[in-house]
Amino acid sequence: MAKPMQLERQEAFEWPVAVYIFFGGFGGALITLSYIFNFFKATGSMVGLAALSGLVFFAIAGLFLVFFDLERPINAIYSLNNVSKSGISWDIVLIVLNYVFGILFVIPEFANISALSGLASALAPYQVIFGAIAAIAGFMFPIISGGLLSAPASIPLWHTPALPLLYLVTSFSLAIAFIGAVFGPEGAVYTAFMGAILALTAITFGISLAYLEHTHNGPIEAKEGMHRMLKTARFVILYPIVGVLFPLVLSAYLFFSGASITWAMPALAIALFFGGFAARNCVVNNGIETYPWPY
Amino acid sequence: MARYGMVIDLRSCVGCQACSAACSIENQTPYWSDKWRTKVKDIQVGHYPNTARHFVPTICMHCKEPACMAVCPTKATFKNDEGFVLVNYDTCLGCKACMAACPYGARYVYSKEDVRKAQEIYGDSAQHNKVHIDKCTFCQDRIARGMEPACVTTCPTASRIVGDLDDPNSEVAKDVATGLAKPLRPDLDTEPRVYYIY
Repeated sequence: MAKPMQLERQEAFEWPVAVYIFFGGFGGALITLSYIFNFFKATGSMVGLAALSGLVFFAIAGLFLVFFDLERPINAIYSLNNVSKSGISWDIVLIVLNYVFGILFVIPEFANISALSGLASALAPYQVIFGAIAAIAGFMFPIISGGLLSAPASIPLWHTPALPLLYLVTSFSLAIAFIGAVFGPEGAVYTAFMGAILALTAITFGISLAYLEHTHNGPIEAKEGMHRMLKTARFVILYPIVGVLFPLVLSAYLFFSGASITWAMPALAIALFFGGFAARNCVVNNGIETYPWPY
Repeated sequence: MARYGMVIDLRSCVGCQACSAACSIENQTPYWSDKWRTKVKDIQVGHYPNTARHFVPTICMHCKEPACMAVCPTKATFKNDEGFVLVNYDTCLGCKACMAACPYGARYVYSKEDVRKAQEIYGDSAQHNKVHIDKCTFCQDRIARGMEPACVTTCPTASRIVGDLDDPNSEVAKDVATGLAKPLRPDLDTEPRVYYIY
């Protein structure tokens, strides 16, 4: 007698978790990049605005977590209780570190604002340290928040190290395209940006293939989750086509030909934005688990 | 100290859901939102003409290595001295990470609306006054009074039995030792204290 498993969609996480993971990773990547730019003595406006926008996106992530996901956000004060094991504890610690040190890092960049000049000069000697802490926290955020999904063994579609890695790489490719779209770099900097987007998108492509392999050869729940995702037009259009193949082809063309197209960077940013969000939202939505039937 | 465990005999379960009702009355679970600490799943397997219908009651397995406890950011999920997995309602953040982590689907949100409704129904005797993630407690207060959990007492076919897993003379320990009763998803290494005969 055939004894099929009963597959059900998980009931724990909904779309606000996807928004939180997406904007948190994006914001964290922007703050990390702003520190790298600062390290390489990039222009003040690029460093300051990248870090500021990172903080804004981080705020969006935090607000979604607090108002749409946590049932009792005030109890986040207890979250230091289990830092050694809980991904959510780490997320909350990273958000706080990123915010506090991100603000301390960015203030010296706005020394020309008279109200901030005194504070900016006082913080300036420590900017590198503040920036380093914020950058490490920003870098870690997509990994740890991806780990939030990949931790439960009961949901095999999520239970793979490919997810944190995918979220890390896509956060950085989006952040680079976003900075490129806002500041419109030229010449060698433009080529470097395009090369970075190409490299990260190529890695994204590779991880996506590995993820597909994991679901194809993995447990039935993972296969079913991927099957449901691939039946969703929104996912198929937004992630593999718009979010991976389009940026891969465009950035490869511009990098290897040395050409420069005005609309390319904003187009890449938009494509990576929607692709990145689809990669998170559809994965969250299609987490399939099996009730552990003995039959 | 006794290490209580439960054996559920699926061969005799008739799917009457008396266990769910008894549990809900005992523990004031939000039946109005269709949320239960013990659920009876009605599954049909096979293809005509070779079909079968099974009833599978599920509860918290009170695992030795609970996946829900590891992910809890506030340590609101904890194990008491007897090894039962419980939730501290005061420090629960409601992040639902434990719900995602639990491979047995044993948890649900006792939401703000549920708390309001519970207070409306039960008044001053309401047990749930805060939003939290809720789950089976193995009827801790009843066990402490030397009674069996409500679901066990009420089962008309005695499909559920409770006993000390460390006492080789208990029926539960015998069923487990002989391999008659088996845990669900042993591959996850959670080491449940609830076993099934099927």
